[in-house]
Amino acid sequence: MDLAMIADSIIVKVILSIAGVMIVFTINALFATWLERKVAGHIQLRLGPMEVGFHGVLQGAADGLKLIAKEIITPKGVDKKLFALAPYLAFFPTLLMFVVIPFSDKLQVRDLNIGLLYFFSISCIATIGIFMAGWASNNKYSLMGAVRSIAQSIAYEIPIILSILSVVIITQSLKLSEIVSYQSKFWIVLVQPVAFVVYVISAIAELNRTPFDIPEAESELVAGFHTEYSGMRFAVFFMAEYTNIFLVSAMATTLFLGGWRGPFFPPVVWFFIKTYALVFFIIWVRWAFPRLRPDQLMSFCWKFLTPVALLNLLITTFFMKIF
Amino acid sequence: MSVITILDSFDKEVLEQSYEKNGFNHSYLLRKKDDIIELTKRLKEEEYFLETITAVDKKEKIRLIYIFNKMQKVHRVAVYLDIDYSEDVPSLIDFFKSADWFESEVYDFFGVKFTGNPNLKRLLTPEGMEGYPLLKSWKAEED
Amino acid sequence: MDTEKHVLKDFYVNMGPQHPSTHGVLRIVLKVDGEKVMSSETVLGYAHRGVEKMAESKTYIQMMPVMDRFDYVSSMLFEWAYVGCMEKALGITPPERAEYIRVIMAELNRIASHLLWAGAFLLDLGAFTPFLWLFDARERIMDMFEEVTGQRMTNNYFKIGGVADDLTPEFFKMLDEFLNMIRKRMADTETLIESIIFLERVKDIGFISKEDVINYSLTGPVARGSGVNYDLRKNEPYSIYTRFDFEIPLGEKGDCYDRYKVRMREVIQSVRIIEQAVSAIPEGPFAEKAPKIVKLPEGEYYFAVETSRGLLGVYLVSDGSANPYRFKLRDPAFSNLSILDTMLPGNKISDVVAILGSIDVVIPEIDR
Repeated sequence: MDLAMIADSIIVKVILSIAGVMIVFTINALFATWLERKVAGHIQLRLGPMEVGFHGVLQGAADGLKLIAKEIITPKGVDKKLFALAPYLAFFPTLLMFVVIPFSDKLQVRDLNIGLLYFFSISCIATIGIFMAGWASNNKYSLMGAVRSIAQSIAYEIPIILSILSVVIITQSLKLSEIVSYQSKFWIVLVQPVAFVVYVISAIAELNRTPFDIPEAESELVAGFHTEYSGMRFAVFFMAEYTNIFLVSAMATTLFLGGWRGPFFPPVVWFFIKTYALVFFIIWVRWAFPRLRPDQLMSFCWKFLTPVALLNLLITTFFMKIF
Repeated sequence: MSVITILDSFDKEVLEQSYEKNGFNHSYLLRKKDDIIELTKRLKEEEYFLETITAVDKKEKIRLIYIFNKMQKVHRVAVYLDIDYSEDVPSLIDFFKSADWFESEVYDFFGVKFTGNPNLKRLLTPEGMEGYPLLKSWKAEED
Repeated sequence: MDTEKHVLKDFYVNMGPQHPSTHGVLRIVLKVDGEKVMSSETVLGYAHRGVEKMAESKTYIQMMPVMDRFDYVSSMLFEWAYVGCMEKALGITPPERAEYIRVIMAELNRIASHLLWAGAFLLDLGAFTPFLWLFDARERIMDMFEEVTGQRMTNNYFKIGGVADDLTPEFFKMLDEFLNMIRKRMADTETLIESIIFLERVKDIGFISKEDVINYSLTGPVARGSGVNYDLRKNEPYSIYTRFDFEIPLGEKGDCYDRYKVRMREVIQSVRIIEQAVSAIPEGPFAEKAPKIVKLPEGEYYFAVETSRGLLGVYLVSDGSANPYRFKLRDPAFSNLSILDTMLPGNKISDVVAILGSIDVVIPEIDR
């Protein structure tokens, strides 16, 4: 068997893909946590982590080591199987979602025909993990966090889907590589600014981050669904959160900001620049705003965001039909 | 109507205390404990508020102190009531809701029962506490 | 299906005694229907130390450090109430310079307390950044206290007839720096925080009417947030407060937002008082000669000051011996908290932290 055949064989492709995804995932988990702490620090008139490595770049690794070394506590009265399963159910979908992300014109694990649909379907599984965690914890605060989380996820799926539908109607495709190649002349955000704004707001809500962090509102629900978790199980929830931030930003880049397209630099660099600009924005929002109340969150979604997205979709359809 | 005219109709003893020396503009010792209800009603009409209720163990009796004050300009009126250790006192909860916790505190520390207060409970002392700690006869358990 | 079996029984949530937003060991038992609070019961006493009984076996001077342990975020205001009460009994007037020092320190302490409150209140609402912005400012006050009193908190600085030590030139330098930055910091914080989300969270919840202020004996910013003009610094002037030009900020509707705004504006008024005091402070002794062993003449004494939470009264009964016969604290947060149970029903769980936060309680002061 010569080398070309080896490189072509399906097993090698799978192994390479898994390795690639793991590398991106690990680097992101380390970088995004560091970025969050640094941005938070500088917004709050302090420096953030400074001790581990240059300006604390290795802080994430140090924290990871600490969490691995910690004891995993299973409190009394929890549903042991569900309790242990929940973090991984919240975490593994994030890895699966990497599959369709086009990092560049060549770097994509699988260019599925229904890539967009696949991405958002998989993302819903994580909610089950969160609910499972809250349910199994045998803790009132956890349960309330889980209930809030379900209500919020269901509510904000709708404006997200409506806003990306507008994009799909323009590009006439669910295939992510085609959506990117459609943007060779202009970015979709220029013709769909409303859909972009709706997408980013809903995405922050889907991520359960401030100002939409009601499922884990620490001042009301102690820590929400992960109150009872410790050690590596807690870390898994944590990693899932940061991977999700990266993924929704990557998807926004692909759908609205021209994907990997850009002058001078190689495509991969452009992809990461755009994605981390959005990650930075999401972090910035978190440290600038207080938290909404659950009922305000719901009425904002149902009475404002969804109608706006729906109207936007209607106008888009109308113009596509005419021109 | 000044506080002096209000108090004219009550059976009382005027105590010699002054604002400069003691911090009370007027101090009266009521002779009949039921008068406190009527007095409170009149004072509330004159826009006084109930600053606090407390008590002192005078060794033969308990002396309750009701402190009323005015918000516009300071006019602190201390009304005293001498009662026996086991005596009940009418509650002021119908006039001032704050009396609820004030009375509970006095009950907690002195064992004075206020009739008419539905929420009277041991407010601050730990569960299972016996005796009333601010009575002079109360002794802490030796460890 | 037997529906009877599937009716959810009363769902109780225990907020506290260990909970991030009860700020100490307060416990609130909430009966909830989903997110809605049906009824609540406040349970006190987790930090009860029996100080009023303890006072009866301590000398007057030994009680001084204990005064710091009630409201540890504005301890000097508590010291003032106690020292003021004893000075009233003994007929001692502190010298001019001491009065000015007391005013400066008390107002700094009031600012520190309000900054801590604002930071924690906004943190309860989910805003992390203003907490650290305001703590940075508070930290400077703590440094000043350390410079003069040797302690950051629980200062034990006020003494009968004056204060324990004179202000240092280094203190005035630090104070100058602080006064230069605080107005801008407060303005920046208000710009940062008063977004639509914050206003939606705090406006039109937790109403307190003017009648309830009288009814529940509310004082301090909680009363002033409802538009009741009651501040002991104006209505019962003690020390030298009549000499300063300052305003009493008032709210209109009595909701959480008004109480927040009143405290934020009070910080600026305290800054004004400090500025006037610093420019007018005379030279001279910082303390009058006081007796080594304090024995109050027989009688009863009551002295009240305005703390950052409202009317604080110290009631002392003396039988002429070296120990107080009865020591009673009329503390503001105790009565202010008593209205909580009537305010909560009908609100959401998220509002509970906003309403409780807007009342501003310090538990050791309530539990005593």
